[in-house]
Amino acid sequence: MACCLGSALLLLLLLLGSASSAGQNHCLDAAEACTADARCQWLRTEYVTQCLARSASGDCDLARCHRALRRFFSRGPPALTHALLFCQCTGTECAERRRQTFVPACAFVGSNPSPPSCLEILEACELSPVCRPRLLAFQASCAPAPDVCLRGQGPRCLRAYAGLMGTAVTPNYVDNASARVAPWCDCGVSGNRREECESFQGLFTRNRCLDGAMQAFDSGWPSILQEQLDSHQDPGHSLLQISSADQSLEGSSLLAILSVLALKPLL
Amino acid sequence: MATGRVLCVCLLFLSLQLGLSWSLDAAQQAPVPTGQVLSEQPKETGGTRRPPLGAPHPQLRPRRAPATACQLWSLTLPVAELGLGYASEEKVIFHYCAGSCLRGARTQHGLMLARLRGQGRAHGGPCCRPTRYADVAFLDDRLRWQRLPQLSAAACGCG
Repeated sequence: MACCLGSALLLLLLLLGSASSAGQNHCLDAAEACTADARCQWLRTEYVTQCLARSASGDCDLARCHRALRRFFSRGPPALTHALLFCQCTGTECAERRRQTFVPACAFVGSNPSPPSCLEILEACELSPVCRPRLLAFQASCAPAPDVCLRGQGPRCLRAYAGLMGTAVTPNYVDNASARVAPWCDCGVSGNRREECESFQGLFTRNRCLDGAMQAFDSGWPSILQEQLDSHQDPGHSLLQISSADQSLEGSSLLAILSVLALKPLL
Repeated sequence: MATGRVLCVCLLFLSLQLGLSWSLDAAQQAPVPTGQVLSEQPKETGGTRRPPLGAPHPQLRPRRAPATACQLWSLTLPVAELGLGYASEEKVIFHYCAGSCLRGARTQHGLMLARLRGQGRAHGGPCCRPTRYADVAFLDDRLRWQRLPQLSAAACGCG
């Protein structure tokens, strides 16, 4: 009796949870939400185009790719661009999609088949008028002092992290098995500056604030996308989006009401 | 008896869920007019026109010959339905131009053609076609980026 009730509840949860056709792959959901928004879709196609273009020598045009990536994050709707960047994954396929989302073959690896020294890219960033302020903002919001995490700084930290995309220290997810991020560099050849090198690398790989902020992003997931749908300026598109969102919300609440009514006599 | 009831409840929800997803899919596949919204791209000023506020409600079945003026429509398609051999879980938005060009031909040629057609001296009139195209990009099932240049319409005009 109890096990039958339990399996019925499980089935109900599954049905309620899968109201949308996209299912559990948050990164795929984020990609579709971006595609559905005219501005996000245009900016996304733009960075993909720039980052896939190969010159005669076979290299990609890193400057163009990076510029298009920076534009994506600065001009795109933040809810959608951040959803693409910070989507949470439980499976390998989702995580691999997340790793490939920003064309790492060009934007992340660039023309360096093996990772350069972190000190080298740090120096390049400090000399760059674009990268330097962004790195400073990232350090201020995500690592103000060793082992210090300011309360409520999560969104600002994530915004600062997104600002690093398309700079000399562009970070990316390092594999499809975890949510670890790092820039394309290592500390192998750092001589007597090894500590400095590892401290810079630790900004990404051993950063509690950043990890916490990324995890906290996911818990606000449905409300972020719903806010985006509601605040959309484009009437033509928004007609389509709001009507389908309303239907899915109506559907789940209908199921919820019916489930409560139906299960009452069983209890 | 209790298990029978549980079974009935489960079947009820399954049918509801299927019905809901079918109507959702159908609504998503209905073409929606988007006015000229895609002509206003970020940082591209040019001549932008706001879409009409009273945009028509999406219908479940599009009519054969739209009685509306030439405008941009959109259709959400799974990549497999593009019929180009790609496999991907993503959906793309395909924009196209449709509508009548009885009025509002915006080129010299179109205006002349409309006039001659009205006089019965020309076989056809100006037609609603894209004036600008847009690329479409997606990650395929092998998680490689694919790009389809100039696949979708970005703006429409009568020519």
